[in-house]
Amino acid sequence: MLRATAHIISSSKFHIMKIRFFFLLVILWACNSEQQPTKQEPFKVSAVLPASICEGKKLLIYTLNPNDCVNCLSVFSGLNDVLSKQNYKTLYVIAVDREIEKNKFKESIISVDLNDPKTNVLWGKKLFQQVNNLTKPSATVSLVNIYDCKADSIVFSKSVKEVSDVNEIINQLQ
Amino acid sequence: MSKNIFVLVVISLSVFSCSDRQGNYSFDKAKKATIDESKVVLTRLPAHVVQINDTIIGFNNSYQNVSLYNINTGKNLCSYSLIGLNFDSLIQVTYGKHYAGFRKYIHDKGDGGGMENSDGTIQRIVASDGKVYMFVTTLAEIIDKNDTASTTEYDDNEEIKKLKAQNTKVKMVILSYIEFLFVADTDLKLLEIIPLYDRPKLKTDDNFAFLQIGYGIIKGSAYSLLQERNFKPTTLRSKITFSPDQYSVVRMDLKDVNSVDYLLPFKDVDFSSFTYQDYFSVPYQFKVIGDKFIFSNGKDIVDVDKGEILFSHTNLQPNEWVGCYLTGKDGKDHFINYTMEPKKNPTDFEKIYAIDSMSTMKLRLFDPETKKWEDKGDLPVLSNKSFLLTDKNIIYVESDSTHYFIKQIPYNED
Repeated sequence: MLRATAHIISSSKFHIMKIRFFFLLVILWACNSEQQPTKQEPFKVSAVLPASICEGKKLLIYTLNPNDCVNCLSVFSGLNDVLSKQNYKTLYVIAVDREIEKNKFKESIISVDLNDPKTNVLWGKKLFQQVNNLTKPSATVSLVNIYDCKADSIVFSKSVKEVSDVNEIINQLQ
Repeated sequence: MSKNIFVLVVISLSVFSCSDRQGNYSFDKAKKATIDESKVVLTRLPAHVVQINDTIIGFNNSYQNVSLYNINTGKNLCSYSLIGLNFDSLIQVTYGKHYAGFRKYIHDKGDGGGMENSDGTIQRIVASDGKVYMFVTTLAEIIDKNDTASTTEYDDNEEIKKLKAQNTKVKMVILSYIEFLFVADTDLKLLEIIPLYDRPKLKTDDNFAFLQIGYGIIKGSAYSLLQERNFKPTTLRSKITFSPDQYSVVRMDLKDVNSVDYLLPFKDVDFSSFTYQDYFSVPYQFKVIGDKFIFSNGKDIVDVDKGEILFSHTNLQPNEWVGCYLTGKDGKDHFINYTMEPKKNPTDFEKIYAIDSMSTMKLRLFDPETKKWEDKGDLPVLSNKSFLLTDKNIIYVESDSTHYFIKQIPYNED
């Protein structure tokens, strides 16, 4: 009986050892996987923005930083006034996190109603930077971008203050 | 396995704390007051911080308004904003009238200011003589009958030539800075607006007063950096060479445009290590300390009136800069100094704008007799360099995800 028990115990120990070894393999595999981050496709907007944002062929995306150059958001307002009349699908990504700042920003920008539920707006400094990084890594400036939904990439990107001719944007949106 | 994980965790924590920018303080516990945002919402750390008195400090908020706060409670005591100011009207009653007959000023709302209804920018603030001074600028097109050279100045520009060649009609509008000094009391009630008209001596010598990067006011005179009108960086990283006899500072009587004095030749103040980026970004100081009016260019500290070096750059490390300075009651010089290092992997943006990293910020005491330093402790790295040093406290602004705070660190223990 004692011998049989010992055998069972030995078997159990072996079984436990097998389980431990299995878990060790799992842990090592997991650690190994973490050390090699998932390879990200460059310029893939879908890695950063929700898939639902794109309903048509192209999307106009403004990334806006209230702390950009003192005149840049005035330029954005002028640009938005012209382009919004053309009814292009537009998304605003705004580098603001705090509620108090969001409310202030909404009051100050009059060329777009950010309170309107129909206005496509996403908030957050991190998201703003992620979108900017798609075309201009580390740039904290406000950009106007055109996203090609089918290609899942940004096909046009320019600092708002550098846009001299709105037609260069309109031509890309056709 | 568990031992390895433990070691890994310990190493990770060590690395994390080394890279954490909250340094160790060897003095009293810091005090923190939440900033009252009921009237003025902050969108970033203040561009400048000035001391009004022992309990009140002032912020330049996003170059659009100035607010005063109680250091201990964070309460917003008062504010002044450019929003709603009619710059067109201001320009016409000042510059338009002053130069009537030979200059025309055309101002378009939206040219001069930012995202809000403001049409101008508060470039820099200074507190002095019981008043708050705001250097305010806007932009306007200037049509000058007597100065046709200014409109033809850009005719040789290659980009403009290309534009003209590609288009049949090109209208070129040159916008120039229109400058004012707004003067307010310590309740931020506006006392006067001083237009900074041309000064004949500066015009003749082809110089200008560079108030944007630093100025001080004392007894009705403004002191600022002096520069040549054709001062143009080759690249931001290039070293600047100044002629030893060229002057670095200008003094101007605020009421008399003919009163202009050039001070501190470059041979008396060390700018030899400066790149263009350094020149534009150093936290210059003009202030009264004791019975002296001093100027600091981040390297040397000089008695402005006598031209005497009070502290020499030779006492600093090559990449060390003076952020704040005062002479303490203990007879030692108190400094907040910082060091800059090139970024290891700069992005293209950082390369273009010559952006380096601020690696350390320290409170240091310097004994002028023994020429020895005493390091009092590390401080949080504040890349906007907006902090104050008093003989009792270090004061700066920090934020978390929901609030902004005024932080005071007492460093002179009783």
